[in-house]
Amino acid sequence: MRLELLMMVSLLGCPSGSSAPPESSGSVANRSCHRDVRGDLQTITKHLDKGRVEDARLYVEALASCRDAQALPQYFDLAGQVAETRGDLNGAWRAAKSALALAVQADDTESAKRWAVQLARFESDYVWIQVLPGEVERPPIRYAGAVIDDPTMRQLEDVAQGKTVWSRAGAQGFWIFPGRYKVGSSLQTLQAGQVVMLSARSPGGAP
Amino acid sequence: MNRILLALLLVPILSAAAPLTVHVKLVSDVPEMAGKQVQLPLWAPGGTPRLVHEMTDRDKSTLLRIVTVQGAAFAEQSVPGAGSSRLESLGAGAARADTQAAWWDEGTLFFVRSVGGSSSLHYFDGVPRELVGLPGRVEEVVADEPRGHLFVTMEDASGLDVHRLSGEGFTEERRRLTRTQTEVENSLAVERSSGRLHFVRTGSNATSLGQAGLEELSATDGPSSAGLRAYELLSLAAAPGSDALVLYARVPAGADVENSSYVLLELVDGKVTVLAPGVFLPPGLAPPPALSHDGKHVYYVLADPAGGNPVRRIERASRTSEALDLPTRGNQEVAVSAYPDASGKMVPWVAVVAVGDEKGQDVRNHLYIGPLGEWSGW
Repeated sequence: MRLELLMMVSLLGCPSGSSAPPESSGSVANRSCHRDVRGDLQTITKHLDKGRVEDARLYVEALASCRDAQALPQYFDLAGQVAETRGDLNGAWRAAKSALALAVQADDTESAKRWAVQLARFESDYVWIQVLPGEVERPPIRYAGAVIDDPTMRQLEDVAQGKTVWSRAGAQGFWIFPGRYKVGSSLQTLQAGQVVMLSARSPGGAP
Repeated sequence: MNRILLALLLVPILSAAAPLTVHVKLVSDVPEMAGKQVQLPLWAPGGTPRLVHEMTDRDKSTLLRIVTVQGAAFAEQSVPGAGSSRLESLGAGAARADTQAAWWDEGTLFFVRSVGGSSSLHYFDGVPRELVGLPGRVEEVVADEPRGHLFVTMEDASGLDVHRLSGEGFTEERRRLTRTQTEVENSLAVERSSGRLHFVRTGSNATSLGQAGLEELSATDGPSSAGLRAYELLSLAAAPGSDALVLYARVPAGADVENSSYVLLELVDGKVTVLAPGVFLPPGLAPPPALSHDGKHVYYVLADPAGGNPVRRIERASRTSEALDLPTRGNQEVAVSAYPDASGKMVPWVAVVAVGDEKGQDVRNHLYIGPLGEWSGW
């Protein structure tokens, strides 16, 4: 069973175990905490159910450095929901991948499949900006539509600060909303599911 | 002698008008449209045939769907309820009414989203983005992208008025162009070459026209004519490069629906002319008249239920009216624009909302689109 799960993760293109670099902005949970983790997770769920995303975010962040919480798939499930609802796509992606890794670790085939579906849904709904390590640290991407919103501003801040995540294929990049962007000197309408490859040689990017 | 006879025989043939055949395809017979009706198609500017239309499932919701011609086929995209697909899957704005679409450029548009008691302005370029900070309920929007202007009608404590928004994020200028307590402004239209805004003002007893120039601080009375008093003005379109307006109106003014009819009017230099009597308009708010891209022709639906409500077009200069050769019956609405073919020649594209699908088994309002003339690959 364990072998099957590992093969599935491998087929999905996850970077393999120790060779995978750490997420550039991921937090390292190395402390136990004195919080009631289960209670906090229930509180997050209640806030989400009532549409109080910012309230839920406070609890997610409080548990982020808590080792006990980081061992629970439910934590990553809720953290991903909060992040995606706020438009923090990179955060949601990291959470979903962590949840998948926990499911594999626990030999939980059903959960692993569910998270694989979730990641595939993510890939079809948003735009992946892929960068080659060392070539383009801060991709020249600007929003070029008529109306910019807060989530897009946050996504582009991640891009500007070089806060990359790792794709299932082991590539480095960023998730952003579909929309009208200026990539390098090229004005592009980036569609859901599109992959934009950026390299030093073609800073304008070639999908 | 034989040549003369041949010429005499050929003259009537050559002078007979070629049939205005529109090679339409049904673009609403898709799973996403199951149970939904089409209304208000609106062609985009630019080089690719593309339109947005409303789709409504009776009382539940109204959504927007974009159809883009790609060779012989078409691609479709619906405006989702939220930018985050998680929010969308949770049903964000499920009972919403997305209406009043206005293209900003060839790929992005503005629209009004009503959810519950609120009514706000959104921009769509792949995900919906709300234009925040507007102080009232937005009712209608039109865009003038070359000059960076948005015109909206918005209702607040002072009533429903026309506002002009411009500048970075549309926050630098937010000017109230009208201040009317008892009148309602509607059917906003921008004349492309001057950027002048025209609209209909509806009061308790009569309708009139209003306008606002590019830099004017408030709107003024629009062109008037004694002849207009006989009509209740419903919607308008501004002919490009001129002061001419084309309007839909009800006659006689003030009569109820059963005892009135609709006409297509033209207003030039204070003179009102009936371009077409007995036109058909769908229930609800009247769509703007379908003026061709060069302003030469107006397309309309003739109210002739026995004849299937034929779609016709009239040449404004000569007043010559011709029927379009269409396979549809029960026509409800028509919209027109033009796009360059491979050689750069502008080819009109027509969208027709008609009752029924091609098999005659469906009585919903469907959408048919096609070029008036040849279009490679279509």
